[in-house]
Amino acid sequence: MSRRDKWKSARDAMMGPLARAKGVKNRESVPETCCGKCQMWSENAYSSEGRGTCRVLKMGSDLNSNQPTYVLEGEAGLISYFNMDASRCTYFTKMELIDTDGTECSDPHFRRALRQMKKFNE
Amino acid sequence: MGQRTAQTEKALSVDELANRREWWSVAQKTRSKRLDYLRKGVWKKGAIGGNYAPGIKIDLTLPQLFTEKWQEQEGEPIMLQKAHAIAHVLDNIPIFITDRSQIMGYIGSAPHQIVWHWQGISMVNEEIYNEEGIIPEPEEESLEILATLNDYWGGRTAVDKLARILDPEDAVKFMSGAIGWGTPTSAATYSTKDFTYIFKGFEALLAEIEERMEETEQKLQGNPSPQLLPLYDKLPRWEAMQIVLEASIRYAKRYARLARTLAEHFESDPTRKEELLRIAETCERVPAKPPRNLQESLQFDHFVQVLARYETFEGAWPHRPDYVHGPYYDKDVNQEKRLTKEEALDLVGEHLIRTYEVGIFAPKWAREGLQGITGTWVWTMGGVKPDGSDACNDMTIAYMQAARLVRVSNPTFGFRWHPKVKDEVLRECFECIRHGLGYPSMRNDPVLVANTVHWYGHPVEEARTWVHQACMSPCPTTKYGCQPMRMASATANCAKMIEYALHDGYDPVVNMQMGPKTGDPRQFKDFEEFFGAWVKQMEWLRNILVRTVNLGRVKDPEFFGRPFLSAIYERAVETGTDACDPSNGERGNAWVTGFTWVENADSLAAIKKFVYDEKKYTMDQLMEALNANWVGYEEMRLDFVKNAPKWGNDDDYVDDLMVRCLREVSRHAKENKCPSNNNWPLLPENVSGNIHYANLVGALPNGRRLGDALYDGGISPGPGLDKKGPTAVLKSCGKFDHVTDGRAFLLNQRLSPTQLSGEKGYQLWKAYMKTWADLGLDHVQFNMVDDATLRAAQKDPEKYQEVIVRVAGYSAHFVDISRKTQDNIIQRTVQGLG
Repeated sequence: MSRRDKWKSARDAMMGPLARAKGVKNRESVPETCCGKCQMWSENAYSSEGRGTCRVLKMGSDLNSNQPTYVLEGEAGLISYFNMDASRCTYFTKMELIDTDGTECSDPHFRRALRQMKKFNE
Repeated sequence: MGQRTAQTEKALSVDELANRREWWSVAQKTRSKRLDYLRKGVWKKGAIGGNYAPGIKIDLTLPQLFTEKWQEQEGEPIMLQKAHAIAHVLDNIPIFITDRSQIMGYIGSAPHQIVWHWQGISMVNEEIYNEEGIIPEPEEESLEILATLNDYWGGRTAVDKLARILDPEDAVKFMSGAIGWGTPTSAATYSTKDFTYIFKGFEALLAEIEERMEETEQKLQGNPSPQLLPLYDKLPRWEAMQIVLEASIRYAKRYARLARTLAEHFESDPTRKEELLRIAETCERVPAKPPRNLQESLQFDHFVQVLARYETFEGAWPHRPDYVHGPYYDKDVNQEKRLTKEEALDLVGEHLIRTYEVGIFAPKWAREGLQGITGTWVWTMGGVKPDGSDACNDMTIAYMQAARLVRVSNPTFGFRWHPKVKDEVLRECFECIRHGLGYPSMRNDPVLVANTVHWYGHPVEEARTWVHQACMSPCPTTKYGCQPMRMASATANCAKMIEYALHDGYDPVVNMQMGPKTGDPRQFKDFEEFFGAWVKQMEWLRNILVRTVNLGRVKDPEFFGRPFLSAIYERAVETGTDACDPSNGERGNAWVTGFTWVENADSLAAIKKFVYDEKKYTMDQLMEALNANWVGYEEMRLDFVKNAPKWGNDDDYVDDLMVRCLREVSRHAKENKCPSNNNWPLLPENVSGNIHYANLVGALPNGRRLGDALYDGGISPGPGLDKKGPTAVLKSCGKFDHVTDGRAFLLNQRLSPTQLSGEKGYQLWKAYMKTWADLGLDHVQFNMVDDATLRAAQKDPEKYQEVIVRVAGYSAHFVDISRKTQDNIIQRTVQGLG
């Protein structure tokens, strides 16, 4: 795979059509076990639309297939969304959510201020 | 103070409150009833910490109006399509008049609503959908509207289009959020405005456009040639400009009609009735025709700013209102005596309040980096005229006085100090600082005029017209000097330069190979080799940001389109181009904002001293400690904090490294070119990016851990690390050339309000300013609120709503910034003068 192609797949994961949910139902859906509740997932600092990066898995990993693929070496971390189903990920580590109202800023590792995550705080 | 009863509080006189330095109470007691009403009634639009205040909602009317017309006009050239959409918004957006107000215009349908432009960045569109608290009731209905908008705009926004043509590696790294911030599009931007041109009136601009169209149409009837072909594209652009100018005049006239209706049918108070009729007359006059008096000139100005924000998110407010409105003040107050000073002060105070109430949705990173405010609206005051003579006037003084009365945190002022400034004006600046506003920041005019000429080749007469383009960077307000688009989108998280030099270009925080592989520092032979790695990382980081912004800039007319801005830009009207098109003669005024810069000098000094010069620690030991985030290495960490040389203490060991770093960057700044083929100098400053990036920058050799706040200024020493007093800070900062070694350099200082009370305090400050000017520094700004007040405000925020602090290039109400930022400000060293 050329350098361009390799990074293109990362860019598409970040901004391409696959990254965009349609309609209210898809946008509101948050599985019980999701990337947004994992200690290994960091919310992206550039935007808070729900995009983030895994601190363990690299690009090329696939959590959606029946037999997930885990890539642990590479130049870019796996880009995923807060509401991505992580029930089949063996690296999922549930985190305690603190400071969930987002008033105290700059703690992206411990803050999930997305409206859809509110149900887990109650 | 917090224990006082309401009764004793009421009984305190203005003098007693002033003696207690409770300036916010002094303001409430001394401002007019109108200003008090308007100030207390205004909605707070800046985020509190990272979130919007309760009650603030996103406006859904504007994007729906815009999108429905946009879809109808599908297939037209983008500027024309957009002009129709904006005109549709201006003709249909609900308008309102606030009781007792005299200046009209608001961006959005209701005073508690903030707007966003769906055409710009689909990531932000989605962020709004996900945002808690701002979705209007009924929520279910609003979510449907938002989802429909997002489904349409996804893939169609300016940034979506740009991301498709950027190198994919650049796109991923730029949008990782680790190395910089900003959006390479004029969807999130700001623009300089030339009011000498705009104040001709929109009817005059329309006539000029009509003339150019007729002339062009005649040419197109002539002999066919390749030279004629580009003219076809100009006609729809001019048409777009006409559409928005005509819609702008209609928008103002809607206010005129509303004011007249209220006066004639609803208002019973004769005084207010008279005011409403005057408002009607004003809005019928401007912006169609040139202003004739102060109210018309302020109203014209505010309409222009509001209209520009109906087109896009303008996150800064480059302006020089004392210079623009001074002649109208002089005519009304001094010559024709149409207004008393008090009446003029009401208008000026309201101008500040109307500006403060403007709110546009900001994504989370921007809210964290600009806590407490909606944008960096630094208005420029003072300075010189194009011929070099003093430009300060009565309006300069009126703005300073009004600022102390209304105590808004936005706009703030930057004062262009020069040797001919009169003492009465300097005293007004000092009074604002003494009253704890944190502004004006003081700018060294001769240095910055020379700097503007040096970096971009602006003629000196044009350089002298400069305004703060955002927090810090000067920009001329002339035909070829005006900047139409935010070029500081190249905002660098500079602490990554040293972090990547230590980690072979790898980012351990975001888990990505970011910079070039410059080698494992454990294998470096000497400090020079390490410094070479730092230079390569610095060049890489600047290159990727500048590349991205350059591309965003040249593609902006194709991907976004600015019909309104083009219509008020002389060079765009003349050439039939989009204002953002760099080929229309713009000289170029780009800079890279350098967040978290000083960590580089302190970290390099620590490495040089402890690893290479004294060999106290090996690089292996240092890397082990950094990889462990200093956990388990506390004694070693404190050695690096306390005993390694620190910037700001007049210590040549570290100061020489700072100068060396700046000169490397300045060399590189001339190798980077903007689309106008001009330079990209560095401008070190932080807004509250030092807090935003705290969790994105790993452990550093200056002793900082992941999560600790970074240093607060552009060249400010680390909080509490400047041990040798204010003169040593100034001397360190005076060791490099503020003309040739960068664009501008932000210096925060905290002074003691006790020491600076009374006339003696003013004289001490004035002597300090003389040293500052003699050393050739370009900037300094002050916090003058004591620790006791700030701690009391942390405990009892309701009582201290109008306490203001200087955060970085802007001021904020102390209660609106996060606890981490509050603590960071309290930690700053209080300097004793004299």
